[in-house]
Order: sequence, then C-alpha cells, then structure tokens
Amino acid sequence: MMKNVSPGVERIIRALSETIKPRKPGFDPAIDDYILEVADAFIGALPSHMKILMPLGLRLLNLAALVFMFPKFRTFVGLSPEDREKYVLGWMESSIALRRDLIKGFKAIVMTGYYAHPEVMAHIGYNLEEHLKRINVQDIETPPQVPCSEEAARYFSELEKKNAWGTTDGLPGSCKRYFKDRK
Amino acid sequence: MIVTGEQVNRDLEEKCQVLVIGSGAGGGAIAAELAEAGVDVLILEEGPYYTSKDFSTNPAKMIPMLYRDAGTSVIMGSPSIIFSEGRCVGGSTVINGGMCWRTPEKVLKRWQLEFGLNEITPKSMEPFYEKVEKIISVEPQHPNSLSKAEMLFHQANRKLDYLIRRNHRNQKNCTGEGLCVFGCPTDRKRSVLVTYIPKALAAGARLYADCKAERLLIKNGKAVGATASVLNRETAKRKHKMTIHAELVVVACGAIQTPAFLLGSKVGNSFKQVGKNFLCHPNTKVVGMFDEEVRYWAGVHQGHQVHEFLDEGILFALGGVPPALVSLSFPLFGRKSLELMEQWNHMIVGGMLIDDTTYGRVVRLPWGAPLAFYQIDDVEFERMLRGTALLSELFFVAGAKKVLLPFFQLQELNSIDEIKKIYEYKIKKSELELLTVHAFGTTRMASTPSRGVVNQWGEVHDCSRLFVVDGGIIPTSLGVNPQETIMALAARSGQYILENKQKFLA
Repeated sequence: MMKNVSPGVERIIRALSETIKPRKPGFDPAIDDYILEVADAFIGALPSHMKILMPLGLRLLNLAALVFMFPKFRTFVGLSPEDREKYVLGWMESSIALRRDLIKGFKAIVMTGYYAHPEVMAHIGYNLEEHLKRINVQDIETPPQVPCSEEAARYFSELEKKNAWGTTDGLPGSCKRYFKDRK
Repeated sequence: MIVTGEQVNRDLEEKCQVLVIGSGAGGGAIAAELAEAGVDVLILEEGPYYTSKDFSTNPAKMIPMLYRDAGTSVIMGSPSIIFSEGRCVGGSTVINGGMCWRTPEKVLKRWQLEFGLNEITPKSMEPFYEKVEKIISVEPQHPNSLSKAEMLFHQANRKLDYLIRRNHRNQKNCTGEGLCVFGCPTDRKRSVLVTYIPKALAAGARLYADCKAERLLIKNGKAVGATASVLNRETAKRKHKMTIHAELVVVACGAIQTPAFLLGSKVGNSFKQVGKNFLCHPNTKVVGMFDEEVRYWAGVHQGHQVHEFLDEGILFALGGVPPALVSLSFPLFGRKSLELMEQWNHMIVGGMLIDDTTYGRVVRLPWGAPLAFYQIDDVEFERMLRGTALLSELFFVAGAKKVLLPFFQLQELNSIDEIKKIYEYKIKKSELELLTVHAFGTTRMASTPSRGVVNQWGEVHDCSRLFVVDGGIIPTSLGVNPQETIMALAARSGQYILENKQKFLA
C-alpha cells in the first residue's frame, strides 16, 4: 500500500508500472511491489506543487483513454496489457509536451527502481558490488592498486611513460596539443 | 559544530558575523575562507547532512536522498531539460562528476569586454585557482582507475587527431568506482562535504542543516540577517523557526534557488536583472554499441574530455551513469527496453555539453518555489546535431557496430556512412532528450547595475553587506564544468571581505 498517494492513484500507478516495466518471456522478476515502494519514496520527495499535479496528471492519463482509445470505452486501468502499451506509446510520442513529460517522469521512476534491483542488475551483467570489492583494497592515501581494466591500465601507463598521454596542466580549450605545438 | 533538524526542538535565534546560506561550491569555499581568518561564520543548509557512511550504490535510495525534488527538477521549454541539483550539505559537489577546470581565457576576456569585469583576469585569478586546486585535490586520474571504454575512446580520438585531455578531477587516489553521482562512498572524490566544510567547522564555523532560509532581513538598505525554517527531514515540513542576525550575509543557493530567494526578499532587483540571463549548458547522450564487452561503467566517470571543438561550443566525455539513467535516454519501455539494456556491458555512453547561445529565465512562483525556463535556439540545436554526428563518428572509429541517438525520429545508426542521416531527417528540437547539471547567469556579475545583480566581488549592487557567490554570478556560459570557477570566485570574494573588514564587519 503506497503511503503518499490515494488508493485510486495507486491503481493507476500499478497499471502504468506494469506496462512500462521492462520484461520479456524468460525474464519477468516479481518486483512490482518493490517498484511501487520506490515510486512511493520518489513521490514523497517531490515538491509540494508536484505532489498535487502528479496525481492529477495520472488521473487525466487514466480517463483520457476513454477518448484516445475510442471506441474501447475503458479507462487506462481497464485496458488490456496490449492496449495499455499502445496507449502509453501514444503519450510518449505525443506532440503535446506535457503528455510526453508526464510519461517521461513516470518512466524515470519505474526505470530507476527496476534497474536498481539486484536481480535485474545481475541479469544485465552489472556486477557493481563485485567491481567495488575488487578495486577497493587500499586506503585513501595509497594510489589504486587494482586496475579497473588490465588492458586500459597497460595502455595508459605506456602513454604516461612516453609522456604521450596528454597535457595535465593549463587552461581548457586553447592549449598545447600533445602531438604538435600550436604556434 | 553541526546541528541537524532533528536535534532542534524549539525556535532558534542565532547571531554571527557572517551568515552563509548554502553549503555547496560557493558557500563552502567562502565559509572556510572566512572562518579560517577568525570570522564567526554560520552556515545554513536547506538539505540534510550525510556522510559517506550513509551513501549506497542504490540509485533508488540515493536520488531522493541527495537530489533536489528527487531528481525530477525540470527546466521548462520545448524540449524540457531535466535538471539535477544537490540538496544536501556540500550541495551539487556531492553528486557531480568531479570535473575541475579553470575558467577559459577567452571567457574571462569576454567578461572584461562585455561586463566591465576588468580585474578578473587569468593572472589575478591564478592564486585562487591554485588554492582551490590544492584544497580539493585536483589531479588527473591514475591509469588503474580507467575503464576499457576510456581506452577505446582515447584511441579513437588519437586516430582522428582530436584534442583529448586528461580530465582534472577533485579526487584523491580515485579507484574508479564510478559512483560519483550518488555520493562517493569512500571520500576519494573530494567534494565540499569532505574538504571545505570540515575546514570551516575546524575553524569554528557553525553549520545548521535541514534549515531553509526563508527571507532576508534588511534594515536601512543593509542585509542584517535572515529568517529560516527548521525542517523535518522526512516530511520537509517546517517544525521550528529560526532567526539569524548577522553583520554580513552571503547567499550561495545556486543559480535557480538564489533568484527566488532574492525576489521573495524583495532585494537586489532594482534593475530587474534577478532571474534573467539564465544559462545551463544543455547536455545530451549518444550510446555506442560494441560486439566486445567494454564495461564502460567499471571505471571512473569522465576520465577524459575532448576539447577539440570547444571553440565551436561543443565538449565531449564518456559519462558514467547507471543503467536506469541510460535506459531513460531512449524512447523505449517494456520488452524493447530490456532487450537493449541486456547489452549493458557492450555499451559506451558518451555525453556532449553545449555552450549556450541563448538565455532563459528563472521566476518565482507565488508559493516561493523557483521555475526555470529555457528554450534552446537554432544555434544550440545545430551544435547538438553536429555534436551527435561527431560523437557518433568517434564511436564508429572506436569500433562500435551501432550508435543509438537521442532523437525520436532517428534512433540508431548502423555505420559511419549513415551519420549524414542526422542532417537528412527532419529532427525536431522538441523531441530531443536533454539534461543538465549546470546553471549560471541569474544573478550575474557586471560593473554596471543595469547589466547585472552583483559587482565583481559578488556584492549586490543595491543592497550593502549582501553577497552572492554561486553559479548565478557567472555572467556567461563557460563551456566547461564550473565548480572550480565558482569556488575560486567565492575564495576571491572571501578575501575581498577580509581586506575590507572595517567596512563589512564591525
């Protein structure tokens, strides 16, 4: 149960989240409640005027399906999953900026929650914790001991030895190139 | 001393010599400068106080915690621009990528000619840059902290003979965690939170977090303090009032919040300049898709920057952002989004920053919140297209098999020969996906009051003992990351106040 929106708006958010949530046959993790928790936290952190406007926008999205999906005579929540997808795509491609921005804003919340879930991160190969554990083996006073990429470390170390990596001082833009001096 | 909102259980009344409102790049730097000289400084920060012990790798947790409006701030326009700003002790320096560049010489020249800022020269700024660079540890990255993607990008730039520079970042032995935008969990990124704020506190400054400044107190044309609300951190609602009496006030809330604060206090706007001249370095992203694994996220954010096209107002770098933010760059959802993101380890995300050629505006809404407007013009749009074409070329030269674009009508290119489609398709401005983390100009410096809000020292023209030292005082687009410029100008203003102690501080 979401704390920061009414039950009616929660139903719309749930339907929208189910539609936007990335998934395919073979990978559809049961993390809908988790995404709603994330959405709840984000909505709670919105500025006051957005806490009023966002639910209004969502109700408009729900009801506008009666017009845009005519003659289905259903609100967004009542549409089939396929029709919901078509409807959301219509909002994303709309020439009206406010329609696009509402969906974009909501998509941002769903995607942030979705791609931050450990199951999804593991599925896409984003093994961040393993990377952090591997590289953070020394204190802050010691230069990094473990390369993020062996290949990159070798490449840049070679350039550094040859003094060919590039200038590290001076102003940005107009400055000495490391291949040829500007006269 | 640090006081947080939860520690406050009654209305407060405080006194100090200098009140600094905002604890980011400008506020932190000037607070430390003054406190270390023996001035009694009180720092007000609207956001919460967190340390690296509170930081995690989960963006769903960190964004609502550290970002204003949970990262949903938008600059209105067609297209709208997502604006990310820190709202915490340390400000945006806690969530930025840590790039540090001195102000380009051509920009300082422009300030002299157009705004009469004749004393802000490369030579006069040199000691301040040096001081800032020492305090926040500005260094290029160690080879071990760079990803394979940085190597491929560097090689492509060399092949095309582009000027690619090792990025200067405020970091100490950064290992390449790539978590800059969620608060560095090891303090290797030397944000204001771990540099200037501890310096200020060690010198006796007081910091009140969860305290939002509401209004300036003005008496006989002089700033004499401010009123504030002590906030409940969870609800952001006011729980107590605070009044601060000061001999001098420094406002450093950022180029979007400061104008709203000044307008609400009815100060600084005699020449109707507050909130005008808004600049924001619009950004967009391009993604290269590679057959081999490149793991661009396994390494530091922006190890290099391409300065070849700075004179054209275009800057490139690889951006270390998490999968959620990458997925938002594309008009995809559902199955298509997942199929794209399953190639996460085969992607390199490149960003471009465009120099502004137009101005926007920040207004104050009736309930006090600011609202920013910015409409990219044709020149900026052309730069976006050119930047996209150049970055796409770089990715193909680096070995990409496909490049994904930020345009609704043209979403991908499959070869270097297809780059010309960027110019052949009728891409509409309104359908660009834009974002930014920089904001300037809204309380800009100028020698004449009709052209700006503050003078070269950040002193407000029409109100004495009131200074502004944040990105808003920068009068033009910089073309490069601004935090070092802001800190150096703040340090300079601090020194000016100290040299004129008789005038400003009783």
